[in-house]
Amino acid sequence: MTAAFVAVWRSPTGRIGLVLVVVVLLFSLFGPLVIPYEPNRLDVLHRFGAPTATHWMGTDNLGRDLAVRMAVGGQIALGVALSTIGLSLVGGTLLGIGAAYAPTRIERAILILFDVLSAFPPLIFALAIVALLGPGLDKVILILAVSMVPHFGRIARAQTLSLRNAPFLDATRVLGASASRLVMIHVVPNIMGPLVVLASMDIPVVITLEAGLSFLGIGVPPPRASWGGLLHDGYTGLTQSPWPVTFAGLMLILATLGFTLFGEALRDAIDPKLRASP
Amino acid sequence: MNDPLLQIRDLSVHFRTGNGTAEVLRHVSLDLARGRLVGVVGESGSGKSTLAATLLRLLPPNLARLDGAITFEGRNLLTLPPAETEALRGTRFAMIFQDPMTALNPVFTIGNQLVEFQRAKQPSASRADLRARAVRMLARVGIADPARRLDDYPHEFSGGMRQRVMIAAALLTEADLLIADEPTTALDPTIEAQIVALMRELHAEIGSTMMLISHSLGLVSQLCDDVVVLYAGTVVETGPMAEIFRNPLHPYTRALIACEIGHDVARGDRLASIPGEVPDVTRVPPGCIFAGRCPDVVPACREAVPELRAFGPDRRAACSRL
Amino acid sequence: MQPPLVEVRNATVAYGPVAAVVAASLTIEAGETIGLIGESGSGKSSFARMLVGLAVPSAGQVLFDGGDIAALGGPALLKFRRDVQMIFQDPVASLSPRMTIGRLLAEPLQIHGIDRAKAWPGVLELVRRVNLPETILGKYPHQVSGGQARRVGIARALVLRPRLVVADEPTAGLDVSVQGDLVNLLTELQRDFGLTYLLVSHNLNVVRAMADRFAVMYLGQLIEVGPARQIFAAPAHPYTRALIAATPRLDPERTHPPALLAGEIPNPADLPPGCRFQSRCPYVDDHCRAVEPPPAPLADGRIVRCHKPLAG
Repeated sequence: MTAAFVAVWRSPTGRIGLVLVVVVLLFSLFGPLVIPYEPNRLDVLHRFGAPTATHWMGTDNLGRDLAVRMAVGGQIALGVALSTIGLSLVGGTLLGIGAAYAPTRIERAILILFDVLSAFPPLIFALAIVALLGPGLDKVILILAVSMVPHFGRIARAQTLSLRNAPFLDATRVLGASASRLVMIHVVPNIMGPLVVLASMDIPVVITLEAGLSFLGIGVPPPRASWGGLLHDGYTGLTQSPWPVTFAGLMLILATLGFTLFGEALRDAIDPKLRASP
Repeated sequence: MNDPLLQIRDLSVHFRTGNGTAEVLRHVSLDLARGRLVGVVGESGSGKSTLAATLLRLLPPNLARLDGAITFEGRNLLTLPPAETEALRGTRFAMIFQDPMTALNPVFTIGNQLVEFQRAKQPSASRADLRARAVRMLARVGIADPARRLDDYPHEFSGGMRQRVMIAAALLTEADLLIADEPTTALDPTIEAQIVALMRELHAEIGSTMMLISHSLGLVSQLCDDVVVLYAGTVVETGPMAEIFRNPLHPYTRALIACEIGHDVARGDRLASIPGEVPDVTRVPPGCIFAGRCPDVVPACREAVPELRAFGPDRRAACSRL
Repeated sequence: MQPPLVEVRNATVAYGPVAAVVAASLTIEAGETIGLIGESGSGKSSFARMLVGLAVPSAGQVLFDGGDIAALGGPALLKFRRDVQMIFQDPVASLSPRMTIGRLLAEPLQIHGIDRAKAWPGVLELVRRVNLPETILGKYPHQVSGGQARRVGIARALVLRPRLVVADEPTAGLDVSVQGDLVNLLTELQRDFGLTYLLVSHNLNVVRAMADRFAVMYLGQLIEVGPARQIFAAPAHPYTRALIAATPRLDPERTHPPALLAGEIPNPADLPPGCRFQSRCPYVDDHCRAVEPPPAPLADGRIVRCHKPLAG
């Protein structure tokens, strides 16, 4: 894994991606500690302020400091992305390995489940769930995670199938290894490479989806700051001030660009063969 | 042995690798006499396949240096423009590979490919004529019902049959030099025996010059007139087959012959081996290349590279202690 | 009376419609070496996999120490796994790529709950015994040479001190200058650890240097089983004779040209009735084309599937 990071750092686009990711990460994590404003404290006297030395990004429609709200929004975006990807990675990998080893009938059922899940556009899927259960951060994570499971599941299944007859698995079986040992110690580490790449390339997708849901008002409920919500509020007040939209858009662009460049470089470093596939 | 078909003089081939420059062939000089079947014997890392690739100018892109000369009909193959060396392939030189599937295209029928193999030499011949020649040649190499099999694809042939098709293809080009790189290594023993018998028969009949690259001394003894022994990129001994195997001169040749498991071996007999490892050709030691594993080594062996000296009219060996 | 170490009774291994091993019977006594020879597609690898429990017979049984291995479970199965090990054909591919050699050698101990601290000196001794440097323990499989990986595979198979070792083409791909070393090592290990070997190979010479008895397979059937010396001196099955005669030997006088066998191995999915060797046999007659020869004992104790055996 260290070698992969070195290779990412060596590629020019990978380096840009890594720097962007680190900048967004540091800003989101430490911004609220450094910036002397509460993200939700109103200051109606300074609505729609332009950037100044104290308010780096200006203020929003209710006079809240935009910089600290961007940082908190970043925490939410990254938190949602990481927990979503984590959940779907684990779920998809287990289902995928299960499908590869299960009898044909169960394998077929799992594959149909993958097809059904990926047939729903995630936004429509999310609208349906929110209509049933109401908005909330946990629901956003759950919806996005479920909709991403087939992504990981299909790759995990294909990888496991190509590994199933590997001599080293036979050799370990002859030593008396249990099925769970075979899967956890010998199969999983050998199929993780492409899955990790896929995960890093899915992070920007989740960030955009979360922003989209929050923009529509069915994601992170106000007053909590999120990039999608900030974009929405800024859009409504666009005639008064261009800054909220500008900075929220910039944050989204930097984060997705960073993760995309990083993910592509990681993919090239771990498995150049994947480059051609969509 | 006057007027050899091909003269190799002082040929050195170096490749770039992750560990530095690998001197895969060093100062190789030998003649391929017309009509002879020459066996090139060596273990992995001896450079025997690189020798074949150099003759055909099919060298990989990590080639670092190519020195010496290969003279064919008065021209040096190593300085010929790429277009001309390409024209020689398939018309004057033909190759039989270990795995015929690397040379046969899976999406075309055998008949199509056998016709194409002849095109280079006979651009204006009619397709029907070339197909008829292909049918005759397939029958010649022992393929039953050749006219019908012409429309089959490579995967419809068994391994042994594919190798027969490859031999037919090589013969159809009427090349002056046929190079066979481990042609039977992938085959089962009873099929290998069939292919060896076929090659011997065809060689006696056609009289073309052949170079057989093999790690199997048994195979070379059954098939070849002359033998070249390669070790770690260096020719250590050359000469007529029967003389080399009856009375090997170089310590490596002797050790290699001792490693053959004879038909008199019985259960529990200790088998011979050559202690030590093949030297790393990215760091070639000074002196004799075999010094590190040689049972007869003396300090002088590690100082100067021994010349390939003549011992009798046709024999040469590179050992300073002979 | 002590049962034989292994008894294969009329076992068939089928993958789909094609049977890789057909009604094969063989006993292996403790301490002996059986050489299993045959060409590609003869079913010898499937036979080997069946002995170690990687392939399950669809008919017949494999008995180890008198017990049917298909019926083993729990501690008895774990005991069988300790007693029976395999050396795989592709040495690098049979080592898990993301584990160091040290972890790979410790894994058998972990699986069987053996105290690593107590057993580790024995493992190190084994590493030295197969002529590997201790520095290899920190390396990954792709960082070692093919010859070293092969020795790691041997050491790993012996960590549990098995009784039966199935070696699948242990010298495939080795140069002749090191092949002898490996054969000598396997012979010494057999003596030192009291091993029983089933040696699978297509290289007749290597098998000859190691085996007490031969078992020759052709298209899934054991067509000749008997003492190595007798089979080499006078093969009884025409195929065995052809196989021995086809092996090229170093023979500068060319007094023993490889003998020829007509035809190719037929497609196992499309076999005619009668003997499986009929299409290539020089002695075939109408009886051979109609009736499949059963395994029958010869006077000297060999078991041969041929209506007209050449010897015995």
